[in-house]
Amino acid sequence: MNFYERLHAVLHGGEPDAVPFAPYDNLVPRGGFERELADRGMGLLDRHSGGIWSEMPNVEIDTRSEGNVVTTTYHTPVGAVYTRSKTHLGRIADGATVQTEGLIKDVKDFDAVIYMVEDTVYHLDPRPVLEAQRHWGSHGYLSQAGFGVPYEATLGFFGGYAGIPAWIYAQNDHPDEFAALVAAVDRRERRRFPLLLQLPGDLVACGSVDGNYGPARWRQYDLPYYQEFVPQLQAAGKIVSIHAHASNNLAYADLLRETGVDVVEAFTPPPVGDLSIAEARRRWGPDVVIWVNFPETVFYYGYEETRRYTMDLIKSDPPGNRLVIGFTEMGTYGITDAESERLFKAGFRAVVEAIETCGAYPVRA
Amino acid sequence: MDFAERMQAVLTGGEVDRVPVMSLESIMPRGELELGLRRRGMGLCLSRPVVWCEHPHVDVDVQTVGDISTMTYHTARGDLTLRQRQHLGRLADDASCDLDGLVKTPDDLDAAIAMAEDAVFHIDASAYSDTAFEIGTDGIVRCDGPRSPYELSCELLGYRPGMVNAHQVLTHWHQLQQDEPTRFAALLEALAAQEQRRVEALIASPVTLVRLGRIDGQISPTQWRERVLPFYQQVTAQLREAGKVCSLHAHTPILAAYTDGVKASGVQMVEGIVSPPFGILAVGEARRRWWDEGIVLWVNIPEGLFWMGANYVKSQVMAIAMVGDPANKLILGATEQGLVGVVDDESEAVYRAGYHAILDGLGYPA
Repeated sequence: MNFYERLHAVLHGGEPDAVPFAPYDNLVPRGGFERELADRGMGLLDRHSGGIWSEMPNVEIDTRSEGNVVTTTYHTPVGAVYTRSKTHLGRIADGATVQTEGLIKDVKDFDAVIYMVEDTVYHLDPRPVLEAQRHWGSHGYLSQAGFGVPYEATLGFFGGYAGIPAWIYAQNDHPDEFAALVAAVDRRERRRFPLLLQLPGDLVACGSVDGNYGPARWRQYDLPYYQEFVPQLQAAGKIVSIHAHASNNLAYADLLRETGVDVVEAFTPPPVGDLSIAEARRRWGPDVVIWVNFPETVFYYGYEETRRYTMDLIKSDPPGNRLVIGFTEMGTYGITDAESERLFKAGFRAVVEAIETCGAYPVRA
Repeated sequence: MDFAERMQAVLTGGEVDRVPVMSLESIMPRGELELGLRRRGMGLCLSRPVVWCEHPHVDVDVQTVGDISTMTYHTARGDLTLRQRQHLGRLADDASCDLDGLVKTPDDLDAAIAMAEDAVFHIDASAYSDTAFEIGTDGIVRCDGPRSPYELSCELLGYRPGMVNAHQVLTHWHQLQQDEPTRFAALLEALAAQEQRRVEALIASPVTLVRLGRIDGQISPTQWRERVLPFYQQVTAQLREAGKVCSLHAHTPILAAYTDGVKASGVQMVEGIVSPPFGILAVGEARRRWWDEGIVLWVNIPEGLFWMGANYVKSQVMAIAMVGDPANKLILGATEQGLVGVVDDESEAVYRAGYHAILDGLGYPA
């Protein structure tokens, strides 16, 4: 089997010849080392965002740069809001850019942001997806950006991770405005959803478990969304994944089962996460695909320990036909100097070596 | 030898075991076919910025209606607008094309001059350094460097190679030069100063390989010698003095008419050479005309040949490689179309066979 066939078998309930090794494509960039790993069976997951594009026809956008700080102002008929970003920051983030101020800084910003959300119009264009599938061929697999979960998505308007305090205060201080924002995002996602069903490709990535808010709130705000939309996607032949990269997944384990998703990816096992593959399998049953984010910190224990750790991971989930080993968070981005280059390259090679040693299907415990 | 060693040898006048095959990264999307070619020895040329440009006194507005975005640049001496069609969907999700240029009438010249005067360049080599590390021996990284003011003025009116309404844009450009000679000269002067600031930033950066402008063929050989060449002579002298290697992207099919100008430009590499039957400059003739300057030739194998069959491609490649001093100062590969030409199963099969035939013709192991 080639990489595509192997991963396709795992995602579709079939029998692969081995456990797939599938990092995100941006975390193992094109080059000599990537080619070396590909020669030993590695393929890549392309998290594709094309296929559906959006516009805000009644919003005008200004951009002003001062040094490496870019201020983007959105003019709506009900007011203006702006973001600030620092650019040219190197590999600290995709695009070398970090947002330092989100759209919502004050209660008066809600109206304009809600207007922007309501003004968003979506268009379907499947050509970029079809072309990407053609180019990747057997070397890659595409996932498509699925629905956004409204409550989770509102964090983005406050500046993402940097805006968590403001996001929390807003929910307490301005509950009516916040509820109106969530409702607007909900309407926006419902406008996008029919297009999602029409996109080519099978794998759809929907929402995440970040650990930014607790299981009770996740159950209240996020779970109903999965319970409504996951069955519709599955009825349309889609395979639904969730990006569960929280290090405290144990607290969300039963909720994840209740979502009904087919794939739990970015799953980070101990010692970084607190939920083992064996315990997750016990709670989720034999059919859910567990897509592991390999914890790079293990690399610092050396080649042999990394190899042994990987073999233990694989052997903990026999027969191995619903398991994927990946890198979803850091990958080779963790290489910053000669020492980390040596450790990370040795670590990646140890992972491949372990899959070659004990990853053949059926995996024996 | 691996690809990086081969390229190092070619660029420094050393010996290679085989003619390097190098394609532009932008037209070789990641995937099975390009990985297969890299496994056999093809390398990539990746372009990354090492300097970035700031316009501290220019605000930009963006208004999007449907798939058309209109950008308005507010300068102290007036506004300029540019319309782009977005979501064109070929190869990159954000593919777009310009529908017009910033300069549409003589009234726009003052604002265009203000923008050029406002351009400030900063060094940021992080993307360049990261990419060089990541690509390793599978490629080389370069940056886009200064371009001649005359060439840039043409693009300010909206010219792009391969555009549909080039005739209209070029007519406006010539008319502007006739009707507004003084202000047009002032624009060229401002652009020259802007590009000189870019050169100074590049010299201070770690980049080695610098791509200058293009020879598209829209500027006649006489005009090119008169209005473009002096700029390149000036900047190549500065860049070479700083240890940089300069290249020109000379993809015009009528390159034979520009060979004397290229010879005098001071560039060390000419890329995008379109060999016959699509271009009129044979590789042997290019070698003969530029031999004394030691110019490296990066020849684009026209993808149209692929439709003649793999054996035909292989024989053509062998013939090119055998001209003059085999394997010396020569690179073959894709600089124009690449996998953009793959649109269905048939073209995929034809292009796959064609690219592998290039490697076959140069003796790369299967």
